[in-house]
Amino acid sequence: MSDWDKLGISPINDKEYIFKALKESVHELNFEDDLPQAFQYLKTYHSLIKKVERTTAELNKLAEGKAENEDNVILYLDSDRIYDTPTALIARFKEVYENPAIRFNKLVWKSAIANAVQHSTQSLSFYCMPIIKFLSSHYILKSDVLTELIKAFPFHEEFMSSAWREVTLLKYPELGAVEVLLTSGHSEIEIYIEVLKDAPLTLAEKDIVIRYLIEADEHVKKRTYQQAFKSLATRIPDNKRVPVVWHKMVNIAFMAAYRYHQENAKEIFFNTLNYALEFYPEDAHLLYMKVLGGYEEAQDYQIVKSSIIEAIKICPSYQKLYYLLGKTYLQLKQYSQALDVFRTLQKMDALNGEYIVYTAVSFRHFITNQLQDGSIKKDKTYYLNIIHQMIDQHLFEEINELQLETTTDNDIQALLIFSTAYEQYILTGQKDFTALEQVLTLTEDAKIIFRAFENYLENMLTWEEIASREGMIRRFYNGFPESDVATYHMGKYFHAIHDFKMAYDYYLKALEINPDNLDVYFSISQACESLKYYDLAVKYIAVYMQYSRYHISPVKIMAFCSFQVEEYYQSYTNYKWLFSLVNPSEITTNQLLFCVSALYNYIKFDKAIEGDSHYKRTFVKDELENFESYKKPDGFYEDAEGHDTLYWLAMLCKHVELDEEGLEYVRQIETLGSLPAEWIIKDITEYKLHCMRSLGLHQELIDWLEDDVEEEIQTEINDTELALKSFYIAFAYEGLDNIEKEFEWKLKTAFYYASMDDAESKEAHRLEWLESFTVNIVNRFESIFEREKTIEAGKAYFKIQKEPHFRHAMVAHYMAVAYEALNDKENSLKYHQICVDYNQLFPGYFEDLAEISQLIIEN
Amino acid sequence: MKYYKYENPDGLNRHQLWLLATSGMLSQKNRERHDVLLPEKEGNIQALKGSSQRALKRDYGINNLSDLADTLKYFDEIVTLKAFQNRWEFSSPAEFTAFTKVNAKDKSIPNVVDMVHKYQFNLPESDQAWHYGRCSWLIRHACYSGFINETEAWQLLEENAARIRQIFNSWESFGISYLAGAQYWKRKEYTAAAISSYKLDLNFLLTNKNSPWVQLAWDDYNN
Repeated sequence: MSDWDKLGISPINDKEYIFKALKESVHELNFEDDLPQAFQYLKTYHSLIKKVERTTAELNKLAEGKAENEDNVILYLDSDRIYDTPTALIARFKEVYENPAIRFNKLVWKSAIANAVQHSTQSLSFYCMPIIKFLSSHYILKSDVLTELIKAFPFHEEFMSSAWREVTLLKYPELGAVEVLLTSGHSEIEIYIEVLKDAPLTLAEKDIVIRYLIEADEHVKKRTYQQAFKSLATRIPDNKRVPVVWHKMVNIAFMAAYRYHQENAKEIFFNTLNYALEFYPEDAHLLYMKVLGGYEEAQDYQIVKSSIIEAIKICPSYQKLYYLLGKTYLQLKQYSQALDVFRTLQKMDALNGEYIVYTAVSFRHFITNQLQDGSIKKDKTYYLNIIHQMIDQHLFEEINELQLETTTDNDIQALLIFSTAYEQYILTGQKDFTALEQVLTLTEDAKIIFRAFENYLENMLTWEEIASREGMIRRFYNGFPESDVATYHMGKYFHAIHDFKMAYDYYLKALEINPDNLDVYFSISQACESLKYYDLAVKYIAVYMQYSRYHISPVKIMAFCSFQVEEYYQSYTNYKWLFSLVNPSEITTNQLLFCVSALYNYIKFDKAIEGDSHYKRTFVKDELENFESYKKPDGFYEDAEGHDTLYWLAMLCKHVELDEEGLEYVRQIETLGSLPAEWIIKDITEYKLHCMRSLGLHQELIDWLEDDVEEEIQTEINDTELALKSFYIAFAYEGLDNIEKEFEWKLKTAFYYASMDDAESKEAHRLEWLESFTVNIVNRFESIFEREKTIEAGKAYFKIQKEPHFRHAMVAHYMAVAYEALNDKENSLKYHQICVDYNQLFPGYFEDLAEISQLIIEN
Repeated sequence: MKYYKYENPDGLNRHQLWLLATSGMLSQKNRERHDVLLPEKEGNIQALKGSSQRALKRDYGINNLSDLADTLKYFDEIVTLKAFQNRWEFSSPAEFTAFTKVNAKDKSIPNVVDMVHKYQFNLPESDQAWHYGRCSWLIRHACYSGFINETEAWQLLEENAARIRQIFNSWESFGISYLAGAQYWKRKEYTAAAISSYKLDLNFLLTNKNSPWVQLAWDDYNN
């Protein structure tokens, strides 16, 4: 039987018609006996309404799509006019605003705006103030129109200007509301436009109604409820009060009467309500408020009940009426009826906390009643049903009270045995497998069998245990192949025997049956991790973690798998979260390594923070402090992963130029109990040199290296690390202002680099380095007027740089100047000539120096 | 799901048990005892205390007594769902329906407005149970973690309970308010699954004989 048949109508796209059918169906019911039937009708009604709304939504979407495609066509709406001045545009705005057919049509406004933008000969800022003034009295517009205005005109500049703050707003304070309108929007206007869309009012009347509704809202915000009520009661004539106005008035009066206990409010409430009902006698909300008022006043709940039922028969789709009915049943101690109502309402709306609470309250009372009433024991089906419900709610003591003294019925026996076993499990965590197996042999009742299997197999602690239960798992699945729980357990069996692909397939099937089974999300992510489907693992565990963030294993999966799919920030934050959840002694070296690596990769490669060196530095500095608070596991400093962790910490510091912190990690690596890998040693040596230089630890560097390097540099060849150390020693002496030593080591370094084998592809790089280094030496001593050293450095330069180069001109010039200072005019002139010659060979680099050299030669 | 039998091993009077019952939702969520001051469970006490301290630090930033005092004050003053109720409580059904079509920048706002619609007129206490219920639980754990002693814990529980008594008139109203608070907290994931664990806990508290809310009448506060 289709939903249409259930309400006795043919398929129709008319919500009103469907509602009438519901009303007729419900009208004849006796609510004491037919409550379930009433809810059936209601359920059918909602299903049909959803169908109608889907169809309408699809049709609307098609229409919108068409309209958007006609965007360009619409822009030609104003093709016969030009709005090249604010006056012309405002005139058009007024025209559109006063036309009810087009005021709320975004495309009409867009067309006029586009026309103005296209034809205006002035700056668009000239349009701002006229539009602002227009909006101060013509503000009932939809937000999409306001958006078009904001996109086209520079209101932001206007509002940011000092003229706006210091002059305009003082003179015209009402324009402040327009600023709010344009910058923040006004959702209430949008809502009222939508609410009054089909109201039987002229456009002008709608504007008035909206205006006073907003005024009432303003009073409500200020908690001046009397004024809010008056805004509507005195300003809008009775015959123009559409339902939304009456609803607002009644709501305000109700709250004033029953929540804020204001004097005379009750009288106003009932008078307003009764008057409103004269205009709208079948308005659902008004009828609901009437019975709600009755409920609040209730002396006799039987009368209240009758009035609610009467209201339901007029408005059978208004859910809140059923809720009140349920509460009234509770007051009348009709717990079975109350339970039916609240359970049904819960199914209709699982998000309403009141339904959840009152279902529980009703159930508690219902069970207490049942315990006093012996009649349930006579009806087996009813008895079993109650026991099932009590097992669901863990009311084991009550089940014991309800137990039949003797019974030969296998189903009842089985269920009671199950109840005892389940209670033991709930309280102690221990399963009574014997009892559960007994249940399975005793009964053929599917529901009891299902429960026994479910409990038998739930929360098995180890994979070995799961694997050992293969027989039971298969029996469960064979008996209930359409059950997500049984399918899930099949998945767990295959998971336990490491057939991860089969496990994945079963888990997926379980999710298809029931996408709300959270346990499956966890298990399927585990299977995905084992199968290296890391992206899927992340996807599934993310769902699980939405509802359970404190469970450690899922966090581990998220952290690790996010790393594998290069979601480094997500990986890092999840490792941090993991460390906050576990006992500090449970943190492993491997986890620390991944955590640091994730942070490193995030900082180095994440495009979202590319170029933001300040953020990176600050972030890493804070995170390092955090990291130091984690307890290092035993063996961390001996473990290769521990070494790697310290290495990546050092590299992280290097990347964001935290040299002090970086050097500290380098020192930790150096003092490790066991030797780290060679590549680590090489990298950290270079970094250590850099840190010591940048931190000004010159003497420490010299003490560390000089003796060994002095010796090795005589004998070792092609040792780039040695060359680098020599380089840093030289600069360390520069840092200590020891000119002699500085000069000595700089020359030593230059000659050592010069002697290195160029066979490898690094030749070009080396030469470039060498050139700039040797020039640096010349510059350095020239700048501190160390003439002899300048000359010696220059000689070294020419000895090393045998190939002609543009820098020769500069070096020669400085040597010439140095010779002149030492009164060696012959050599001075010689080198000035060399400068001129190389400048001719390589013009454009040192023209000024060559000019000076030429002048000196000529003089 | 596991729970403890309600046995009152320390012989507390009904008033004291009532004070503890105000932490019912969080205690039940964490599977703790409802009938003793310290939220003990089975297992290694040292490890449990460590876990308690970590939870206080991680989830509430509580490391000491001063932090606890700040947090209790914060929960006493914070306004969450109430701000939306003040704005939308007086709306007509048509306004609530129209709101769903308004394009809110924050996608959780329509969810909160829907909550206001659902609980319209019936939740004058707003979600204050969510704040005060957590305060009770924090006080018990602060005592467990050693930030305060038992005397101080009872004192703070009394002060917290006095506020609860001013606002609520039944365990049902307390429970609804707590659930509304949980929904508001999880407003971005406004689904039945998001509150399923709270639903289970509420069911236990309102139906099971081992629940403090079934064992104790609301007016046992006066005993």
